[in-house]
Amino acid sequence: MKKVFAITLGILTAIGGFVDIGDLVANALIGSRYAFALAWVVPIGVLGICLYAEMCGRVAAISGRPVFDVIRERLGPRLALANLAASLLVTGLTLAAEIGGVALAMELATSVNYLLWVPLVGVLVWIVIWRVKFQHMETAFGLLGLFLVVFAVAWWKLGPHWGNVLHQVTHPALPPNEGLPTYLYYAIALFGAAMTPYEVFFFSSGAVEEHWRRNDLTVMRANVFVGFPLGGLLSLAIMGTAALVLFPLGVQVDSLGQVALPVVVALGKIGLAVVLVGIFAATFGAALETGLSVGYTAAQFFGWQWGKLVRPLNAARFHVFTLISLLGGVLLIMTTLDPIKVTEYSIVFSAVALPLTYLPILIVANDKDYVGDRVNGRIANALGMIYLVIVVAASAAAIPLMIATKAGQ
Amino acid sequence: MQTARLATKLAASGKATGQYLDVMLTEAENTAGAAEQTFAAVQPPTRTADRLRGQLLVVLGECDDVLSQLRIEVRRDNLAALDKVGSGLDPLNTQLTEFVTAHQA
Repeated sequence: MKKVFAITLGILTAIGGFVDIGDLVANALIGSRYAFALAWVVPIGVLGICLYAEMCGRVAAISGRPVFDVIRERLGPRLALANLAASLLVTGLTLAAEIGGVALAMELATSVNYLLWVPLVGVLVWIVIWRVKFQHMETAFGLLGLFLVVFAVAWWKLGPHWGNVLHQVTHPALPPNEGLPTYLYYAIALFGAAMTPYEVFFFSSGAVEEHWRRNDLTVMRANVFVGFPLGGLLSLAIMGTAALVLFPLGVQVDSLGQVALPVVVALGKIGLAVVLVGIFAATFGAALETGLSVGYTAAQFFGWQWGKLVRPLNAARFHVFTLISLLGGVLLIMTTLDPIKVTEYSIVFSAVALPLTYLPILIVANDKDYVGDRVNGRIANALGMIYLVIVVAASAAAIPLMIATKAGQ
Repeated sequence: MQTARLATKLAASGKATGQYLDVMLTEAENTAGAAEQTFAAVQPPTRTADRLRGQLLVVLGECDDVLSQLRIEVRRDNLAALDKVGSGLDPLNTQLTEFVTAHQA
């Protein structure tokens, strides 16, 4: 039973983390605009996050310390501070986007304006972080997040010509009236959404919260190599439904309601109910993860007591910092900034921050002082280096492409 | 506009709830209204641009009217009327597509 719970951590981070508001919006938007011409980015992102999450989980399981804590010790406070600043900026923005996503899901279910839901969502997220046990939290939202499988069911129900889909995936071609810079901009956004920095920090901190040790490595790898690919398949399903229903109509996704639209076309009211529960669970779960990640990284950098297993009184600074971040996210969305736009910018800024996150992880995962004989093998290092080249290229190109394409217009 | 039309078809087949349709149609109305305001606020540089602006604003205004009517019907829970009212978007969509094609670069 304990192993089942441990694997749920992977499922939660895959669905609440991999499929969050960023993936929902990015995949639907790209499916509606490019059909399957950017589908090749999804497996690249999945492999990358699997590779680095496995390193983080291994460092946490062997050393008994979260990866951010180790990075600070191994690379010194200056580099860790740059990592912390980038992580807090991107994760804070993502937290705001997730809160907005939960509120938008509530609006679609009730037709009550999302701005009225935002403060309530903020309070609910805080209560769950404050009161609910880590394991209960991951189990509840992990299972509810599985409702997003409805995208795969809808994709199958819409009856695509699978041979044609495979051809489009393997022979990507630019649609007419689309330029290469915009195509590359969305490729980077999709990659950034898949490899969001908070996922790896949450994963390694969660491993410490669950007291993973050397003999948990097999379970950890099962989580990573089952959970994240599941998230990747759901991402493809979201893209696939948008490509089948919205792309032929020339509809460009700019709202959460449009993300759900293909499911409603395929499965009607039942599909709508299921997809709204799934979106709620995925965004709420991701709001918990991002909220906790902000607290985890700050506490681990400054050396504060942290974690949900510690009584809040003994980890007061961790909880206060998390609460302030939540408040910031709520206030940002309450300014009436469009949560979908916040999401789009958060995933592009994620891409910019990727090297600061993943280079230190690669270094630490090769340090025998922390992982003993479990340092990276040749394959992990070779793939890790290839991914570093990709993330550096994506990071360098993200902002110029954003300016050149007016954020993908 | 295509989103609104698809939503009205879903209403006709009983595939979507009133709450969901309300949000979708309100968003479509807001988007169309914003587009109309944007073009209305632009100072046309020439007489030819005056004419183009006039043509476009007429179509966008008609779209806005249909979308407003759809919003009113959905909030009155009159989902059965949505498809009929929404069919008014079809010729407007054709006009807009032709306008864009004719004046593209």
